[in-house]
Amino acid sequence: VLQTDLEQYLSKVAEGDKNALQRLYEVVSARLYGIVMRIVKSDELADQTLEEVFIDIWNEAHHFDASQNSAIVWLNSLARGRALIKAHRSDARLFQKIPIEDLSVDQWKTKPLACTDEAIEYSALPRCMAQLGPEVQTSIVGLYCEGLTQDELSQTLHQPVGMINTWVRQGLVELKGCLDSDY
Amino acid sequence: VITEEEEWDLQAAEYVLGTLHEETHRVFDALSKVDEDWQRRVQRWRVCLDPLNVLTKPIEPPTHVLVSVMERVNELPSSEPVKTTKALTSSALATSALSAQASSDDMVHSGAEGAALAKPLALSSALTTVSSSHSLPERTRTISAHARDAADSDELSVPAHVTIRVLNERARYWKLAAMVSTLAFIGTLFLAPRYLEQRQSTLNTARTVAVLQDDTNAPLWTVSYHVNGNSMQPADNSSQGTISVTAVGDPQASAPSDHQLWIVFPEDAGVRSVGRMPDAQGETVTLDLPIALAEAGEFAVTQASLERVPRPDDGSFVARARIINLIN
Repeated sequence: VLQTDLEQYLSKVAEGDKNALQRLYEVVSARLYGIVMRIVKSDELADQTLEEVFIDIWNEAHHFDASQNSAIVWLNSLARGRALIKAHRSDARLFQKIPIEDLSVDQWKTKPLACTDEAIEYSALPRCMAQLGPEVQTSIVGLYCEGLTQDELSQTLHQPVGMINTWVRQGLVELKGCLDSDY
Repeated sequence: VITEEEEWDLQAAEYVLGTLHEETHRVFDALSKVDEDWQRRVQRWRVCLDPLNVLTKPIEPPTHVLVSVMERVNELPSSEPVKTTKALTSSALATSALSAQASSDDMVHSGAEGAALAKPLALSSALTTVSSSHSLPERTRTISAHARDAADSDELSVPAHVTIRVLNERARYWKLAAMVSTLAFIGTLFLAPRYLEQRQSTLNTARTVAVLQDDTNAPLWTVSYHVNGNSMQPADNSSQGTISVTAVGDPQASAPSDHQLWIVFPEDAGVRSVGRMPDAQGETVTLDLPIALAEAGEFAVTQASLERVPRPDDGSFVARARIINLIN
């Protein structure tokens, strides 16, 4: 899916075009559902969350500004934000320990890319992440992709929460330095 | 050592990651509605970290989700732009803060515990008047005319002794001009540091440190702290610092009344009056802080008609917000 297509759908949704919302759903729902499911870890919660995400899109599309924002980043952020709220405020999410290999960034090298192909191709993030220590990479992926809390990450990695917080803050400082040097 | 700027970036990154404490996250949610600088930082991290989503496998959702979405959308009115509070740029906040600061000499102190109302200052109209009093084409024409006159005078034929006298006069003129230039240069050497120091003190920035919201989480007021450069030190070293309070929403619509701003000490250990709040949308007032920002826990608002010192737990506050103070 091209960014321009997504922008056009969003533009039409902002005008109240329900067909455009349906078309948008058809092209991005699998990606957004994947993001949501990985965080809320429950079919029922994922269904509810995805529904809320598309209601948000319907209500908020007029706030999207293609000159300031990437459509896919905007959509992903909406989905991730909704999923985090649902996951952290819901008793229904059962914390399961995540296999550490699931928190690896090595998939970047082998995975077939979806609609964020362009973003990853031109992003310095894989190179910058590769410069971080493995425990820092794992922490960031666990927090971002799995939506784990620091406590959950602490249990997953068998490390104290304070150590996790230090890794994350240190990792973010290093990431910023690396990403800034790329601009 | 992490600088103040880096700390703000880190907070933005943690906001995107979702690692902030829930209460802190809510404070930054409020900031996101009104502070363009903060929005920019958050957006930057969203873009930077978004490629991590590629690590997540797409999953086809069950068909009933789309059915539910479309049913709900059919029940809703069409998506139309709604009135929102426009995010203020840091420079806009700083400008409004500085405008209010410039008018602080005109403040009317109204008695009780330093409550103050600032008179509006028409700075922009004053600047417009100054800039329009000399238009560029007019000045250009005048200089050209002088140059042409000078060129014309050089073409005149004059006797040699007159030429020598004129040359001597010109030499004296240039010597005098050189002396004046030298004196001006020396004066600049002495005066420039003082000028720059003064300029630095007026070029302070206003950092949003709290967003006071109504019951629906719509921002009503932003509180900006005047900081010196990139540090969180007060711009005015001789006091506890000043804050600018801007009515970004419509306080009268939410709670019709005059309003009073209070500082709430950490753990609800008491309150201290700060001053009268602006009540017209877009209005800004500058207030002196009665205590250092680092000692304060929250800002809170009561109706000015309360006429007593509220207790943090007596339900008098119509809004309260935690202070974003990255030093602590």
